[in-house]
Amino acid sequence: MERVGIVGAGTMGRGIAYVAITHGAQVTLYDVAPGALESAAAQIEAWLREAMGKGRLDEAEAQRARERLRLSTALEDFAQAEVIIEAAPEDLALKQEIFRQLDRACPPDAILASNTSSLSITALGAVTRRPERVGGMHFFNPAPVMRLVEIVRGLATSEETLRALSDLARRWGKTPVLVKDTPGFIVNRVARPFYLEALRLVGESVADPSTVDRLVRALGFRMGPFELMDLIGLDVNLAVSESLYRAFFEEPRFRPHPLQRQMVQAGRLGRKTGRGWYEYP
Amino acid sequence: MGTQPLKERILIVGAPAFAEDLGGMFLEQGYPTAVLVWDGEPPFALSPDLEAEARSAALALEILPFPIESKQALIALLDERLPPEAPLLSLCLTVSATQVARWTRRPGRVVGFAALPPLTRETPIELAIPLTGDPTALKPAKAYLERIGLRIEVIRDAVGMALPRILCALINEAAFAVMEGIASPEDIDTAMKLGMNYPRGPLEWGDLLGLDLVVAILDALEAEHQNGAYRASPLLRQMVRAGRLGRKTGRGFYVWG
Ligand SMILES: NC(=O)c1ccc[n+]([C@@H]2O[C@H](COP(=O)([O-])OP(=O)(O)OC[C@H]3O[C@@H](n4cnc5c(N)ncnc54)[C@H](O)[C@@H]3O)[C@@H](O)[C@H]2O)c1
Repeated sequence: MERVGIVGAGTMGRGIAYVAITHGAQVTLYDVAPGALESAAAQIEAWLREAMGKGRLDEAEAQRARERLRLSTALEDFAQAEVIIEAAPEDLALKQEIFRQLDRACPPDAILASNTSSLSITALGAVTRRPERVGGMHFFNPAPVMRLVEIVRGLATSEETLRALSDLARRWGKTPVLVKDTPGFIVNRVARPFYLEALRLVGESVADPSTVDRLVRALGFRMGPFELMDLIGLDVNLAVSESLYRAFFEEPRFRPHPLQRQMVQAGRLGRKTGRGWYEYP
Repeated sequence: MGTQPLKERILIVGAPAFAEDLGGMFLEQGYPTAVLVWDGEPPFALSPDLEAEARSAALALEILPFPIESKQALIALLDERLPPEAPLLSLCLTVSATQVARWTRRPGRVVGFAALPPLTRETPIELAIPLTGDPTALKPAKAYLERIGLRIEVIRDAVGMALPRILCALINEAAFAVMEGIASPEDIDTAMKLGMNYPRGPLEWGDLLGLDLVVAILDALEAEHQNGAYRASPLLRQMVRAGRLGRKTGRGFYVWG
């Protein structure tokens, strides 16, 4: 049974905590914002009940899972942790400060992992005295449902650390893939053309968004690129496009499209604002 | 019960698997169909039947994705022999329909289409008329393809059409990732299937399409846009040189049994 510390009890942190406690790990969930831990605990309770309702957990298992969760507002509670997964907001300076603190608060042989989607694992490891024991553990949203975890190898990350994180992901019922620390890792990078080519087609008046979506669905994709942008949020999608474009020093393949920016300027962010490429009355 | 009226004669000329699959669909619907296979490698050695088949065809489909010189020769030949009213559908993956129309004396009867192998009844088909074309030519072309059960979307003519462009850009990005050693082909495909719900991994898809076709489409797009966005991964070029074209040669990113 592993002892795991999770930093940040937001969307991802609480999802990862749920996965961990339902697969036997002892979890300390840490956050600094008032109310964040309570809200996370309530969400985790709701997931446990849902799993019981569907017969995936019995009462005894759910009870044991509950007992494995500990809420914390002090990093000293990580003094016994073997693995830490950081899921704080996506801000390099903030995450580097957290990694400095973790380096001091955690046992020297503990592995420090980050759930970052776009920041450099190498840059996080570099502020610690244990860069070989710093790696990426990139879960997908919603973490309880999505099977994929990208295990990210920073420039200094050791084989042992990668093996330990991959094994952990497997014990938690996930499928790990191994990727070097490069912008967007695998998924956020390789998926870029799915959106950008679709935007270029519409930008060049070759086809309209609904035609492109129909064609793409007919090929077997569950959603077309425009529907998917509406679901993700056009602002989020633009931010990822811009971040990759910058990170690759303006490689033309990653150039964002003016239509993306215009939609964001118009406040048509997708489902969450009631309108994006489509309307959601 | 009377006898079925004779259906119109269909002529299909071009790349082996593609031409045969499409021919099979027309035959199943009772169309007298001639399938003449040519992979585009010179010399141009089509069956002597081409002459006769072309003269009696109500619809011709030319499905040679590349090389471009062979495609042009084939189009010229069909243009000379087809009845003036017969629509000429040309597979437009690496050229625009407008370019194909320019090779003929019948720009009004030319319709471009795009579909990606392997061809099944589920494969979506894109149709586009040349800039110089006649929208009325679209109607019979569309009707024939719908009668054999294919799904049609009409778009505006452009090199690479819609799906080939999206798919080849995805495959190219995945190939860059392999070249840079960021992850194994298996892990890249697994990540895209599990992380994005893609029905297939992009590298597996490249192997199915044929990496020579993928490079040909990317090169055509790069020649058209000249913006670097379609620059093919050098790894893809190396694989094509090595004959690792994917499933059809037994090896691409994967080994095929
Ligand atoms: N949301 C997604 O779809 C998704 C998917 C994969 C990865 N990620 C990554 O996961 C990380 C977290 O994203 P999220 O969506 O869960 O964000 P979120 O805003 O929902 O949660 C972040 C949490 O961190 C807490 N926090 C802020 N500063 C802190 C500090 N100094 N110490 C401890 N906790 C602190 C906040 O109070 C909040 O509860 C980011 O790096 C993000 O890029 C997000």
